[in-house]
Amino acid sequence: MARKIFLLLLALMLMLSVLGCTPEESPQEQLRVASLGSPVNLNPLFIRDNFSFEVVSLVHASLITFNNETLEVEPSLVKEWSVEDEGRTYVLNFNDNAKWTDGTPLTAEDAAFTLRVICHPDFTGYQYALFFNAITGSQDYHSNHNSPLADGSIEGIEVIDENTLKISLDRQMAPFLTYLNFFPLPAHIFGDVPVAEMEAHDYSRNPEVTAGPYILNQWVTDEYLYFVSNPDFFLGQPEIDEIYFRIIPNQEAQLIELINGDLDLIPTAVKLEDVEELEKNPNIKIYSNLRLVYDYLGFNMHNPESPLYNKEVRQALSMVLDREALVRDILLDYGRVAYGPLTPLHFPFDENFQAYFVDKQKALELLKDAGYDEGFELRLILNAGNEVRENAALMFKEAAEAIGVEVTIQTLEWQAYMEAAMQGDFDVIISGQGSDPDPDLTFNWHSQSPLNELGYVNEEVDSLIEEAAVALEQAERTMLYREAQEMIVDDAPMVWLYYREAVHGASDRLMNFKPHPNNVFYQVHLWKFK
Amino acid sequence: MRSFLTKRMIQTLVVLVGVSLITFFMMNLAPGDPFMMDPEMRMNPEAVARWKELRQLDRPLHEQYYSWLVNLLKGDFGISLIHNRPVLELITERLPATLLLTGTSLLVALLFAVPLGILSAVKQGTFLDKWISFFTLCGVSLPNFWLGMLLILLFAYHLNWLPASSLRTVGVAASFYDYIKHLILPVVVLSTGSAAYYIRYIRAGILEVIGQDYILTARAKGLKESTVLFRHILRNSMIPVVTVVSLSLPFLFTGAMVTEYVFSWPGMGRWIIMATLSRDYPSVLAVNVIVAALVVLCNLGADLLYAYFDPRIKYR
Amino acid sequence: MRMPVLQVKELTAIFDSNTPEAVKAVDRVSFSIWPGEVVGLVGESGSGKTVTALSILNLLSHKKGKIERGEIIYKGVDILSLPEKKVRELRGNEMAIIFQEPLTSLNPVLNVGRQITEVISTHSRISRRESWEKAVGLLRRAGISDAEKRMKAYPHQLSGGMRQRVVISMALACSPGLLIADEPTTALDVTIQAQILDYLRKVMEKGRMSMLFVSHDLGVIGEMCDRVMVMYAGRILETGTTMEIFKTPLHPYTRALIEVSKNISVPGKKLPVVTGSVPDLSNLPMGCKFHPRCPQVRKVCREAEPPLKSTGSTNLKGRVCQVRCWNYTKI
Ligand SMILES: Nc1ncnc2c1ncn2[C@@H]1O[C@H](COP(=O)(O)OP(=O)(O)OP(=O)(O)O)[C@@H](O)[C@H]1O
Ligand SMILES: [Mg+2]
Repeated sequence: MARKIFLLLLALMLMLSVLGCTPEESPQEQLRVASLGSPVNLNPLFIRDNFSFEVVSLVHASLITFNNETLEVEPSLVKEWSVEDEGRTYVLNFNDNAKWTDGTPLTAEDAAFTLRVICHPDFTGYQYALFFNAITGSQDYHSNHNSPLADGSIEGIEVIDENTLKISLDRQMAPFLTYLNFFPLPAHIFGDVPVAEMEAHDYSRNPEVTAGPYILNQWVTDEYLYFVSNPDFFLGQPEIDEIYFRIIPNQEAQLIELINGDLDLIPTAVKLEDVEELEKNPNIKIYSNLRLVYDYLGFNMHNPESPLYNKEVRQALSMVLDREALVRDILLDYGRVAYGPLTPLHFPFDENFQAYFVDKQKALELLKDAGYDEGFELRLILNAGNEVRENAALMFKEAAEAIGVEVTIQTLEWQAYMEAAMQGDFDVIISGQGSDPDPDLTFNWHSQSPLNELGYVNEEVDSLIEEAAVALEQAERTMLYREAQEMIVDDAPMVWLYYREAVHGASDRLMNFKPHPNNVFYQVHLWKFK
Repeated sequence: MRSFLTKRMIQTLVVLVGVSLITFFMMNLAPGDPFMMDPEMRMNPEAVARWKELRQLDRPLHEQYYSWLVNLLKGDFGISLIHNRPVLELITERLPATLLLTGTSLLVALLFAVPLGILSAVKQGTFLDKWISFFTLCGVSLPNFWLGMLLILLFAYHLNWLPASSLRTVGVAASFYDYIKHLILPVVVLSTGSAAYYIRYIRAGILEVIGQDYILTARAKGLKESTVLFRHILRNSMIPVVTVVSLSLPFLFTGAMVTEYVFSWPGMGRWIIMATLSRDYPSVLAVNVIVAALVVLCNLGADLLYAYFDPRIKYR
Repeated sequence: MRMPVLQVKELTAIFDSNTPEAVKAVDRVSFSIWPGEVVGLVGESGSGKTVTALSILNLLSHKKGKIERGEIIYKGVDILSLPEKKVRELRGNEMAIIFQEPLTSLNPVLNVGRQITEVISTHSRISRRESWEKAVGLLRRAGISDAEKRMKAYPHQLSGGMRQRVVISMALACSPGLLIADEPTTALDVTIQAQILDYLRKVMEKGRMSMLFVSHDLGVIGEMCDRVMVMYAGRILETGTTMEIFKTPLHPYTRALIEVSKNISVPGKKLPVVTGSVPDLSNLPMGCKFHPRCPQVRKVCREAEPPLKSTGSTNLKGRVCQVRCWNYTKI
């Protein structure tokens, strides 16, 4: 008996020692990237979640891209373009060596086909219908096309030759070029697939014919996606041969694997409180950059009975929260205070524009002027699980109390929060607002925009935004947007809180990684290992 | 026996329909819908409407439920609203990883719980019993999340002996050792809790039997302690054990949500959480119905086992 | 001269030995049982009969009790100093016990045959077949019809009487030298009780076995026993032949018991209690333990406990009669 136990212990120890000392050498040309969640769909037209959005640029190529620092439009599949007819016509010149992975050339027809899909009545993807209804004939196609396929033609979309696409618009539209950062679908694969069936098409899970820098080789459910470099990528075969996109929902585990050398890159998801520790590690490099998103504390302006309907009240409430302290203490300076709707990455951004500083006296006066010096109560909602927002809510509650406003904080589960947000069931909401690479303010601030949830209405702002949207000169647009910003900020529809930086952790061997506001794999074909 | 089984089958059907009804309407009444995933992804309301129409989500709830039921009877669990793929496919993709984890954990838990439970009952009141009780108390009260994080910190970070996530190392050839290495920590977490739980049941069950007169009789017959234990005590203590084990079987299927999250295990639990949060109605419905079916089946199995272990129990 | 089969010397058994509530359930009890003899042990509920019985088999530890001191000498060997293995060889084989409640003393999940044959196969090297046949024979002799079939029955399928026959068959399976019957008929109704007692008597007639017959029913004791010991609060108060005890009971407690059993002469009835309440073992009075209930109590009874004194009348077989009372003891 004792002998048996002894042998068993021996075996156990042997096993442990075998397990204990097997550090795997990661092959040189293999990049392992972490993601908190799994992508669900690799058809670029039907993406609704961030995780799919992150990987999609690995396998697909877009018509244009944005510079990671200036957000200026950069050539990609479209190698050059010209704007004619006072901004109503765009002539796009395609790179002539772009090829689908099955060898078929990627041509202007693929782009035209993709635009037809987007304008098709059965199309259910994200945003596009909002973007492309300026194309001549697109609205007609959208309402009257009666084949389930994306066939036929749209008047304003003209394939001049294999490499040239001409797009004509009904009206001028300054941001139009930026709308062209879509990923074309292979027309020879989807030509006879009804648009209504595209989302559920096998391509979404298994995109065999693509044109991006990498090719999806294996998708192991909820575990990883394995990509190999595309030898025929039109910008040249990527330096790194293989990419593992690993799904690791546990942030601490991601960090440990990065430290242990089992991961090479954690995009976006590094926790602020871990940064200091990581920076001491000689094998790890920390990157950070601003994104096109800011968090805000929005006032519900739908209800004329509410004190928040009153501009002075909103202004007063804009003067209580110490946003500098918020950025310093909660964001640990990985971010900056937001003062208005134009983000620092946008060309009209004004470095010197600042508004509303903590001024209790002034706030009280404003409340008194508005007849609310008795104080009132507000219900603030926010989503559960976002520590920074939770802290901001608490700070606001405390600050508002000082001017006699009682804030009740309600933290809601995501779906309940979203529903409350959509139905306007709140007084104050903490949320985030994203913008496009173009500074266009239409979606968030035009009174007619379906996305204007707070109920902000200012006709002067509307007309400024409309004017800016068709202005062709950047200088003119800058002026108009700054003017609109002043007005919006004066109306105090929200307290702009902060732009939060995305913090990325990478192995110091990884070179050429450039953090980008909305593309994790920006110029991935140039990445390499030291 | 036959009429007993028919009765149970009818009960099962009623339970399943009930569960599916409740889930279906609760899901639909709960706030949110599959389109509220990310506010930064701004959807065109018209496209959303068309999307719902294509999936027949615009029809009245009772019609939706009816057609779901009809499809289910044909063995079709429907199409996931998020993944756009058959729910059954999504389940079969994730089930092996989950069963590997939960099954191993159950085995390991029983492997430890049975001898320790017996030992602590037989040695009731001794030092050993007190240590085992202490351990079970820890095991029961330590949250899996906490224990998992602790083990990761210790074994993956400080010692760097074991991996912190997933079920295999990517980019190297699959090996048995590699799987074992990845299994150790999550299995320890999962089996600690359940082993502690089983130990308590086994111990209590045995203690109850040990005090019975017939055990004294068995000893008075001059039987060896081991014979008394295995022939007289254990069989009589099996019923509570069968009960707890069979109650935990359905959760082999749903996986261990917290542990799967902590160890980034690509299993059912994580998917179920995601499906629930994103209001993927067909997936959540399928899971609920399958779990309900498993619960009912395991109960039936437990009842049949009772009759096997205890001749006094008869079903008619 | 012949040796007693069993000698119990100064047996003291305690419960909860580590707590202040520790009780002495049996206090310095000594007695002997001679070959072929049936000795009755009578007393109220809680007087220590079962504890005494279990101590003889050294099974008290399984009831959380402990033998504090004393000797249990079976056929000349002190079993308390034997290793457990040797004691196991005696249990069920040389010394067997029948418990009061036949339902709970049978394992509900094993069939009757299994429970009988396991005693046989534990103590003798015979084949399955043989032990099976032996068990069938035992059941048949115990008065069970179609014994073959009953072998496969589970306890819950049998009537109370049949169960007790099974228990007795189990106890007799290895033809023990000493049978301890702890209230074997208390749980049964009158007719069954009579049949069982009949059977036990028949077994005794062969004369090779001795029996310690525990009961609180003096009527039954009178029918069964050669000699009687009266127990009270863990002590023996009086011993004597059945005849003597019934004819000339000495101790006031014995007299009260007999008085009561005459009044209610229905055998099998619960012992109608003697006036006064059963003593609390953890809080026994000074002096004679019976004095609070004694009609003839004197001052000395409250102060000192009387010793167990031989009454001088030694019966034919040379066994002493004893009584523990100041009335019969010179101070
Ligand atoms: N398991 C036990 N734990 C603690 N004390 C016990 C235990 N068993 C018996 N005792 C004590 O020993 C005393 C004698 O018990 P015993 O079972 O021997 O009585 P008895 O004479 O057999 O009574 P009955 O006629 O009810 O069977 C009881 O009064 C009780 O105080
Ligand atoms: Mg008793």
